[in-house]
Amino acid sequence: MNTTRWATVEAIRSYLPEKVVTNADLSPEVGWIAEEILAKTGISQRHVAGANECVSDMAVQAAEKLFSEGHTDRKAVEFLILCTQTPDHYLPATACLVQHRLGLSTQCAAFDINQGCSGYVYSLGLASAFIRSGMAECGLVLTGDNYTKFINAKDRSVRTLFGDAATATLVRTGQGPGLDHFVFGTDGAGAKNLIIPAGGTRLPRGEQTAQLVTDGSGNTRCQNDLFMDGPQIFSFTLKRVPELLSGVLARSGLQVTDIDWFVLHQANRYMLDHLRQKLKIPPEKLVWFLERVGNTVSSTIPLAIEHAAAKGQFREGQLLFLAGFGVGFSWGATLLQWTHPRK
Amino acid sequence: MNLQEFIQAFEEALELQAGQVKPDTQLSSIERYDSMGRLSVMAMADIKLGVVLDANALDRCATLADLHALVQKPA
Repeated sequence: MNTTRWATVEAIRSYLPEKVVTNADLSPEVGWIAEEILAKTGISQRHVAGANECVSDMAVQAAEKLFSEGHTDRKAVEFLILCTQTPDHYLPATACLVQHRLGLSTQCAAFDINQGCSGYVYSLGLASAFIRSGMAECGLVLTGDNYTKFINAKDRSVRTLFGDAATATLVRTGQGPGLDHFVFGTDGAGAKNLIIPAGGTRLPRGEQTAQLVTDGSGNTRCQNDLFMDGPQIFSFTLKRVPELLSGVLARSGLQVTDIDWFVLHQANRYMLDHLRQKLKIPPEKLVWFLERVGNTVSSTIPLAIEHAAAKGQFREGQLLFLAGFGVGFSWGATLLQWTHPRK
Repeated sequence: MNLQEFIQAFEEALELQAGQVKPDTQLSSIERYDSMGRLSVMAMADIKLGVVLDANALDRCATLADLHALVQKPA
């Protein structure tokens, strides 16, 4: 690997569906008052994709902003990585649909990766590899999910948490260390703890999988719906996220005090705040963007970065620690040295 | 952390009144020991005791005393 060839994040833009579901909207259905939902989750509203709004639609909207704002010419894009767990179709890859709709070159590599909470870091890792290996100069990392389409209206364990969104990140060769010190991990033993059981080839949808079951906590779902075991996920994050931070620090030779900003996957406020305490991150260094969008899966990290950058929070050269962790179980982290957009 | 101290920490984590639970109190009878409550107990064990509780082991605990025994076990 050419150590003097770097991949940098040039710009991040996002798309949020028009429809907003507030805690007051959810309250009659989940049996908690609005303030209770906010207290439990740290979320006051979430955006929900329209009935006919798919990931390709949302991803195109996000990516078009990069072109319309002059960050790059669409013909310069040599690869497109789309991270989604709710593709338009089984096949073809949703990335192919997006390539066509964006009018990218037919020489452009385009593919989906199926990851969730860790997906943005995985996608940046792939983008970095494309660029640092010399395979490409410029590419897009897109994230997009419609988890809300798979959530049962009577399952308050997940209904209050998730929102839909898409983001587009422009990754290009840069002058100095941009993305570096990636750490990844997987434990498939945790697969059953955050899953849509039916709909794939393992368990096709049918009459049986549509049978509604109410669990001991009063949450109702069927096998076609998203299932999440909160305590299992929490136990997993307590074990693996500290390893992610220590892994990145070991690779980079840095101390935690060398990191300027911590951008963790925005799952819910309780978990995030606990992790902050556990990792001894000063409160002012934790980047938050959860309350108004909810858990948007692989879009949480780029949304948080975009939001903070728009507020002028980052200075040129500052180090951001990015960590995604969750469904799979899958986890990944990296360091990103911030550079202001060139234009 | 002895049993009494643990019960006190448990009550604080779940915002229960002091003395509301006993060692033999069934966890299933505590309304606040729902999914969120279990997270609170896991967080308390992590911060106060440095113990990351396995969610399956947590679910096998029937009483406060069982929970206390669980947090005493080495990881």
